[in-house]
Amino acid sequence: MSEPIVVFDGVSKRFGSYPALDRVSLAVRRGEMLIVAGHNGAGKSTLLALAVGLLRPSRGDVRVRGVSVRRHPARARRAVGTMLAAAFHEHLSGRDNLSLLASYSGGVPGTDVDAIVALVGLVDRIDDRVRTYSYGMRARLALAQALLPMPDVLLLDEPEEGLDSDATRDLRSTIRRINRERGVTVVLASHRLDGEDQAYDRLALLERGRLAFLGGWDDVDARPTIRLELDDWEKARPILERAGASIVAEGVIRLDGNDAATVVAALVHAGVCVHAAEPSRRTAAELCARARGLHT
Amino acid sequence: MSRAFVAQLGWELRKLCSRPRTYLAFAATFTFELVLSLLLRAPAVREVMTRELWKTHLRVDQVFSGLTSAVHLASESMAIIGALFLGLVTSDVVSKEIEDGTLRTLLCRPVGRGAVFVQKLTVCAAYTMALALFVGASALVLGLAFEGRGPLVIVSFSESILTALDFPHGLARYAIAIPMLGGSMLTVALMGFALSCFGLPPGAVIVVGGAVLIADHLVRIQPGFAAISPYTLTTRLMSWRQMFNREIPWPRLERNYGELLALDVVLIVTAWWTFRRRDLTR
Repeated sequence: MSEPIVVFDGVSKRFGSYPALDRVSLAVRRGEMLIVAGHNGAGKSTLLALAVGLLRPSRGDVRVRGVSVRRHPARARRAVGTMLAAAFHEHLSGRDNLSLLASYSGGVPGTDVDAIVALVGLVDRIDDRVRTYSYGMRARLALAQALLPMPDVLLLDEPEEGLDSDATRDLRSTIRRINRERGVTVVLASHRLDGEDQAYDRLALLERGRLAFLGGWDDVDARPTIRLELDDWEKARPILERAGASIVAEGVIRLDGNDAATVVAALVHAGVCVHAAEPSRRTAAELCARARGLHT
Repeated sequence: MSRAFVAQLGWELRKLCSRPRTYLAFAATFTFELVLSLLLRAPAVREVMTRELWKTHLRVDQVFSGLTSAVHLASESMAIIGALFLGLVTSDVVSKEIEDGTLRTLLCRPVGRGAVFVQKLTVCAAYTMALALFVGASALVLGLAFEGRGPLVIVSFSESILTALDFPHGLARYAIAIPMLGGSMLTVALMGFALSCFGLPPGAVIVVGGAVLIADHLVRIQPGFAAISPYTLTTRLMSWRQMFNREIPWPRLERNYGELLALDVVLIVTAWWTFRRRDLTR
């Protein structure tokens, strides 16, 4: 990993009185894969839209390869491919849509278009009208337009939205391949996290417009969390504290010292009925809870 | 003009041409002209028009002709159907693209908003001129088909037009007047374009733009507002018809078109000011 390629420098964005992003500072390193997680409305899409100048920051700036997006948005976008809720002209073919968008990038040779279409696996349907495309094909077309011409940075906002699990797996595998083989930096915003996301180098968690956590997966996993189903949380609270665990979210505890078995045993011994105890799955909500815990 | 600009403009025009409603305007204006051509042949209508002529000192052998009919058809067709569709299509160019998300996708490319704005503006202007020329040509074809050749006879007391020109002179005036009609309608197209840049959805653009034009038209025709009638927008939009005056009032035309141009500039500047600062949310 090397120097930062995208730098969010204290960016804030307000929609009226609503603060969508609040002084977020974050440097994306060249060649890395960063996942930006958070609840719906946490500010993920806003963050990515600010990086290409679709939104104007209320405060701060974003720099892409050192170019200020606020001052020179078009120049800054030269290095960036985006998949931010990409929409297409339904009455034009996939190829026409790509050619149209490529014409706004200084033109792209037809051979490059064909290569990208092959890369995303859309060769058979590229000359059909977009209105006949399935969700999966639209997602591939969206990825293809983001890669035309091949960018240094790929910004992807919920690219799997509406896709089934197979299509999601395919898309993610293609994105990983692009990162690995072409060295393209990838920033992916998602509210659904699963085991696949561990392929990303770092995780940024946004919570109510603030950067709650930024680090590697090991940092997040350093202190495990457990999802508990108890009959009496009020009664459990002091017992958990004594057993070296703290409540980080509703139904979720963080183990600060003891292991899970010891904590559960302490609860049972004190007469708290434990209906279920399982390692916390990596949902955005829980990761946010963990990250918040790491910062306290 | 750079090659990139030409390529982008080509795509913008292709986008416009691929939308069904783009052609709907041509079909609708032609149908309207056809119906109007038939109505103009109704005896009751002819009687009224002849009576109007008899109120003047003009004495002509042939009251109804293809050219006379064409002027009526083009005027009515463009003022009613043409203006409506111009608003619809030009508002599509920006607000529909914002609504569909395609403008957002486009503005993720390494292109300045200024370049995109100029492209859209050019497309609107090209469409307006194409529609005006089509309306003028189809009106002439229908007029000649139904009425045949003959002198151009226009009687309009409210516009102070009283003319009888022979066919060649009438046709020459018509050939100059139609592009001027396009120039006038550019203001209507820019109203739709500017309103869509302000963030109004396509339907609202039609309602707001239409309301402004109807209110202005009502003020123009109400006898009570006679004093301010010359200052209305629709008076200026109808200026192209002054080309059919026996003596063309050039100073008046220059003033009216100058004022329309000034309004066009105001609309473009405010549209640009909004467009360049606009947040494009999902």
